[in-house]
Amino acid sequence: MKSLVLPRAFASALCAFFLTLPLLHAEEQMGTYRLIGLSAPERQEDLREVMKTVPDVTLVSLDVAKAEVSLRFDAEKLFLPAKSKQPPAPDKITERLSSLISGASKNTFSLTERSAVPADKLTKVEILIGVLDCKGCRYAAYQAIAKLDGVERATVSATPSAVIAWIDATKTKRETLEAALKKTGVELLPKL
Amino acid sequence: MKTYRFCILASLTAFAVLPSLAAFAAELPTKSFLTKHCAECHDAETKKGGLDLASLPPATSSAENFARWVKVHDRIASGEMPPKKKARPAAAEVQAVTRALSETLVAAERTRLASEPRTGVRRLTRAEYENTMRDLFAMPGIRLQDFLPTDGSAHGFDKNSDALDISHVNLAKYVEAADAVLNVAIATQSAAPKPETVRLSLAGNYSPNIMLMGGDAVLLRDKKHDPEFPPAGVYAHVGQGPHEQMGTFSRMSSVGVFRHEDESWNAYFQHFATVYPGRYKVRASFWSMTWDQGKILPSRGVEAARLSIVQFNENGRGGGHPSSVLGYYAAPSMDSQVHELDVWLNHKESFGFNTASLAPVVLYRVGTWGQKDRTMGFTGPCIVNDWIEVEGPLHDVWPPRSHRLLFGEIPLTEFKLAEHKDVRPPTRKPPRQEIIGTRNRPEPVVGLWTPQSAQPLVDADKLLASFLPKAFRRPVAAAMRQDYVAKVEERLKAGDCFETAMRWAYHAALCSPDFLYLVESGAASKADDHALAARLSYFLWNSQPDDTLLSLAAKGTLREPKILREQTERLLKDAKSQRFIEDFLGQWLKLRAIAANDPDKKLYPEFNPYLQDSMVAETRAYFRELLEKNLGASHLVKSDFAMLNEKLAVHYGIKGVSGPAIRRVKLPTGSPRGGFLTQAAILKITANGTTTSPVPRGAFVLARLLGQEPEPPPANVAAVEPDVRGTTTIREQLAKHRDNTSCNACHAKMDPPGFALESFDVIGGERERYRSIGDGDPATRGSIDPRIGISFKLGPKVDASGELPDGRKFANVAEFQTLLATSPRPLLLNLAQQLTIYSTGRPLAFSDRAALNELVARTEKQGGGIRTLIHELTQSQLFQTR
Repeated sequence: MKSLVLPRAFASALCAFFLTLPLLHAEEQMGTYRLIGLSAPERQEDLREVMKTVPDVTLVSLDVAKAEVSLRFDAEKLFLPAKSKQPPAPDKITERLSSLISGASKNTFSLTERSAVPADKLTKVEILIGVLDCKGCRYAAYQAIAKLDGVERATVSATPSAVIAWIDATKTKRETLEAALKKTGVELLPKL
Repeated sequence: MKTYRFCILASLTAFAVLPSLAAFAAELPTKSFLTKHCAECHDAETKKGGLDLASLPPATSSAENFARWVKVHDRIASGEMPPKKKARPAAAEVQAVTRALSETLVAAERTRLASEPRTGVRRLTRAEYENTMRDLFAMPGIRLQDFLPTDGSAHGFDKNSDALDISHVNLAKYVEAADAVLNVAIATQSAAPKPETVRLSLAGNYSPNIMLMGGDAVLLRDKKHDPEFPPAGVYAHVGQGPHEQMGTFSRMSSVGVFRHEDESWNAYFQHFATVYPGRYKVRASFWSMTWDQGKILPSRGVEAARLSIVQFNENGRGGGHPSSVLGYYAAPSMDSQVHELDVWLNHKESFGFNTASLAPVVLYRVGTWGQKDRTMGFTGPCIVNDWIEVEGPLHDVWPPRSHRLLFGEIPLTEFKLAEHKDVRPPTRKPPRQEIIGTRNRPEPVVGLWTPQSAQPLVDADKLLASFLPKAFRRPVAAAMRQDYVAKVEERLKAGDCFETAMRWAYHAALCSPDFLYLVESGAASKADDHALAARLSYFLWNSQPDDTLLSLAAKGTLREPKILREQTERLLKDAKSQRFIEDFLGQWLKLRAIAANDPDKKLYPEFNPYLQDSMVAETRAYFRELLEKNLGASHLVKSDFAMLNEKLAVHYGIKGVSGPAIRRVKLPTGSPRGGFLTQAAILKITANGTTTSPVPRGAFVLARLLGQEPEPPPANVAAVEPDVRGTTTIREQLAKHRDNTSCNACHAKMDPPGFALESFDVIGGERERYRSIGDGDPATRGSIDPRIGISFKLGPKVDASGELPDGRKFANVAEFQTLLATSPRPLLLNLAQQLTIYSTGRPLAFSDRAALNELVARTEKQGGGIRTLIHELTQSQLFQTR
C-alpha cells in the first residue's frame, strides 16, 4: 500500500485557498447606493466612523461628488435570523443596509437606490445663505432639502456659505428649496 | 360723684351675688383703687373701651371674663391705666392693687387647672410626622409633608392641640403616607442595587438645548469655545433636532449660561431620575466668567449657582415640575470648583440648575440688551456648569436599617410559589424608570425575595416588642403588643405571607393614635420620664427621642438636672437642631410666610428668589449664631454683626462679602443691620409686596419681639391704604387716623416701631425716599444690576422718627434699636414665653407668669444668653409639667 503524500505545490495551493476563503465567500456581494446625509465634505469622516460600527458591512468606496457609496456585505447575514429560505430581494437589501447605517448614525445617514436621472439632466442650484459655522447647522440646512422629491444631491459649503443642490427640474424648483430652507430658519442671502 | 356712687353700688351688688368678685371686694386696695382711679371712665354709664368694671363678672365665671380681668391687671401694672392725663396713682398703690388682683387671678386659675393636664393630647404636626418617620426608619429625606393637609395654628404655633384637630382626610392621608414609608423601607432584593456613577451634562437635555440654540447659553471645552458649536453671532444656529442627531450636545461639554430661570425655562438634568430611593453622593462643578463678545474673561466675583431637587410629575415631560432648593454653590472666576453633597433622593427625582446670581437676561431676542448680534455681541456675566455626577444608591448595610427595624435579622429568602401553594406572596411593584429621556435603568429583578419565618408568631412577637416602643416613644405593655400579634396571626390564617402579615401590623401601628399622637402620661402635675424625653426631642429636634433619651427615660434619670442639661446640650449640638431653628423661626418670626407675596416688579425689579432665600438663610443663621455664642436678648434688635452672603451684603450696601455662603460679617459703624428687627426677611414678611405700613410692622414688633399682642382692629374702621402714587406718605394718613381717640389708644403703641422701620422698603432695602410708580424724581440705580431695567421714581422722603408710649423719642431706626436694646428684659421675657409655648404645646397661663419671670431672672443672672434660656426652660417646671 502506497502512503498518501501530498505534493508540496498542492499543499501550498490548499493553504492559499483557505487564506482567501473569506474574500471569496459564496454569499458576499457588493452594491453601490445613493448616500443621504453627506451634508458637507467633513461628513466623510463621520461616515467612515459609522461604518466601523456596522457589523458585516464594509465600506469599499465613497464618491463624494456623486454622493454614492459602494458596500460589501453578506446578504444572508444581514437578515439573520433568516425568516425566508429565498434570497432577499435587492430593494429589501437596500432597505436593510439603510436601516443598519441609519441606526448606527442616529439617523444622520441613510441609503436609497442610485439615482435614475442621468447627471447631464440635473440642474445645479446654488443658494447663498447666512453663515452656518457649525456642522449641526449645515446638516440642518442639508436635511431641509435633501429629502425633497426631485433633489438628487445636495451639499452645504461653509465658504462661501451656500447650499448647492442638483435637482430634477421636472420635479422641483429653486423656490421650493428656498422655502424649505426658510422654514428651517436658514437665512437666505441675495444672489451676488 | 354720681358716677362714683353708682360704681360702688354696682360693684357691691355684683360682689354680693358673685362669690369670686367678693374676693376682690374684700381686698381693700383693689376696691379703693378701682373706685378712685377707674370708675370715672369704666362705669356703666361711660363704659369707655366697652369696659364696665362695675358689672364685669368675676374671673372664674368664664375664660373671657378671666381674660378681661387679666387685661385690667396688665394695664394697671404697665402704667397705661389710668391714662397719662389723669392723676397718677402712687407706686405703692399700684403695687398693692396689682398684687391683690394677681393673687386672686392665680388662685382662681390654679383651681381651674388643678384637675387636668395643662397640655392637651395632640397629634404630630406635619413636620414632626415627617421627621419622626425619617428618624425612625433612618430614611433621612423621605418626603411626607406633601401628603398631609396643612396644620392649623393656635397661640402663634402649630404645636397646640387646639390647632391640631384630625379629620377623615388626615386619616386617609396617614394611611397613604404609612404605605409610602413601608414601600421604601422594606427590602425586596437579596442584594443592594449596585451603585452607579453617572456624569451628567446640562447639554443634551431638552430645555438647556433650547437655550443653547437660542444663544442664551454656550458650549465650552477647557474654558474655551467648543469648536463643534461656536457661539451664535449675526446668524442663529438652526435646527435643534439635527444638532441633537449630530451629537453636538452629547460630548460632555461644559455649558455656560447667561439666562436666569423664568416661567418659560427650567434647566433639568433629565438624563437621570431616581429609580431607587436612597442616599446618593452628588458632585457638581461650577465656575464663572465674564463673556465679552466671545472673549472669556475673569468674572466680576464669585457667582452663585443654584441646584434644586426636582420631583418629576408623571413621565417628566415639560417644565415647571415641583422642586426644592438644595443649595447655592460658589462658582469662582475661571476656576472650576467641585461641590460634594450627600443627599437623599426619592423616586423620580433629579436635579435642576439655575444661574441664581445673574440678572434675568434673555439673548435670543436680538437687540434686547443692546447687542447687535446674538451671543457674540453680548457682554455680561456667565455661570458655567462643567458637569454633575450622581453616585448611588449608597447602602452601608443590606438589608437597609429601615428593613432591619421591621424584620430584624430574619434573612431575605426566595419565595417559591410552588412551595407555598396556600400562601399569598408579597405584593411587588418592580422598580421602573418612568421618566422620558433618562439613561439610568433598574436592574432586572430575579426571584421574589422576602423575609420568611419558620415560627412566624414567635418572630412577630419579638419584632413587635422591638418596634412598638420605638414607634410609640415609650414602653408598650405586653397586652397591647399581643393585640398586634393577634392581627398578624389573623392575617397569616387568612393566607398572607409573613411579610404581608407583619406589614399589616406595622401599618396599623403607624396609623394608630399611639404613633400619631403625643401621649404624655404621668401625674397631673408632672410628665413622666418618657413624656419628658419626647417633649425635649420634639422641642429641639422636632422629632422622636433617640435611643439615648429613651434609655435615660427608662432608667428614670433623665429628669436629674445634670443629665437633663447634658442631654439638652447634646440635642442642641446635633445637626438635627436645625429643624428646631427652622420650625420655631418659621412660626415665631413667621418665616413660613416669606413667599406670601411677590414684590411689585416695577417698584422692586431687583427682587428675585435668590435674594428671598438669602433673607431666610440670614435669619436662621443669625438665630443659630445667637444660640451657639449664647448671646443676649438685646441682639434680637441690635447687633454689631450680621450673617450675610454677597447677595444680602450688596442689598444692605455692605462691602467685602463674596459668594453665596452665609457667614458672620462685622457691620460698619452706624449700620442698622444685624438684629431680627432690621433683617430683610422680617421686613418683607411685614410688608405687602407693594408698600409698607407702620401698622402691621409695628404690630409684628409688639407681638413677636416684645410680647405685647395688640388688640385686633375694630370691625367698623377702614384700613389705612398706603398711596403708591407717591402723593401722601403713610405717616400723614396715620396722623389723620389717630385723630380718632379710640384708634389712638392702640396706634400710639403700634405705630412707633412701624415708623422706625419705614427706613426699609418691602424687600428690606434701606431707603431715604419712597419708591413711586407715579409722581416723583428720577431714581438712581444704586446697587441694582445694570442689566435690570428700572422704571420707578423717587417719591416723598421717609420720616422714621417717633415717640414711644412712655415718651422716649427717637429720630431714626438706629435710635429706636438703641432704646429697645438698652432694656432687654421684655425681649428676653418674650422669647422665653415664645419658647415655652412652642416647647410645651400650650398657651401660657396667668399663673405661669411668676415661673416665667423666675426663669428669665435665672437666665439673666447667668448673663442672659439664649442658650442659657433654653437650658433654664428645660429645667423648669413650666417645661416639665404636663
